[in-house]
Amino acid sequence: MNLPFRQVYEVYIRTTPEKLWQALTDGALTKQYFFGGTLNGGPLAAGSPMTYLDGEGNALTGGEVLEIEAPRRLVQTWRATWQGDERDPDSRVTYEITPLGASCKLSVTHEHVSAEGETAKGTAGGWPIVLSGLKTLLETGTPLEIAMPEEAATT
Amino acid sequence: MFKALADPTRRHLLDSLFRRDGQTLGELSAELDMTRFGAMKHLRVLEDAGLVVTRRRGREKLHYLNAVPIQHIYDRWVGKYAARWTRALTGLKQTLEDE
Repeated sequence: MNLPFRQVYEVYIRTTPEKLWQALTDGALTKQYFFGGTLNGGPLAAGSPMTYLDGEGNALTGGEVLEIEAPRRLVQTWRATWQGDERDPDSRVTYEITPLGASCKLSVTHEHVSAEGETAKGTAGGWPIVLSGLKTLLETGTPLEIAMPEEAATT
Repeated sequence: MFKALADPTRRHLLDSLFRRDGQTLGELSAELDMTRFGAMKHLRVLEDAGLVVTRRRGREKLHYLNAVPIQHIYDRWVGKYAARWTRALTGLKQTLEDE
């Protein structure tokens, strides 16, 4: 895959690599920070599907595990299933966990075919929300409550 | 982080990365019409604040906008109830500036 356009995010979280890994891979936890998306159940291995389902069973995003090394590194293809049949080509997401004493650094790299696709535009806004939610969940035990600016404007 | 955002040149650098992520020091200093040394100093402040992260690609060092800390500020001080007001005020600002 030639994926020349990258997005890079880093966040520092007061947690252990094991708890952070669990938050990334356990659907009951992803549901609390990944736009309500529950990651498919069961242990992940290379080649496993990685599909996040919303409350009605629709896939938010799809993909497969490319590399897995608990609790440090997870690489997956990322498929923008929310776009339906006209979706962008697959992209690739890499999670890397670096332990730093009582905290961890989580790096997320999202590599796309093009900067112009809907996926790259959507994820530029989406990752900061997901990663902030992940940090709040791990540090406080409760999910971050956030309304999108458009929703807040209409309430 | 507020200190990092307080400088117009640094905000300009972030705007440039928002438009096109993953630029080299040379590209950023050329666009801002400043010396590499000047751009490097500002980029270091942004890196220390966590707003810019870097990755190497061969001999190049590429700079990426890391919007996660900005999201934390938004979550803490803007939040869901204030969002409609900031949105309205941002709209007002744009309307006035467009005139």
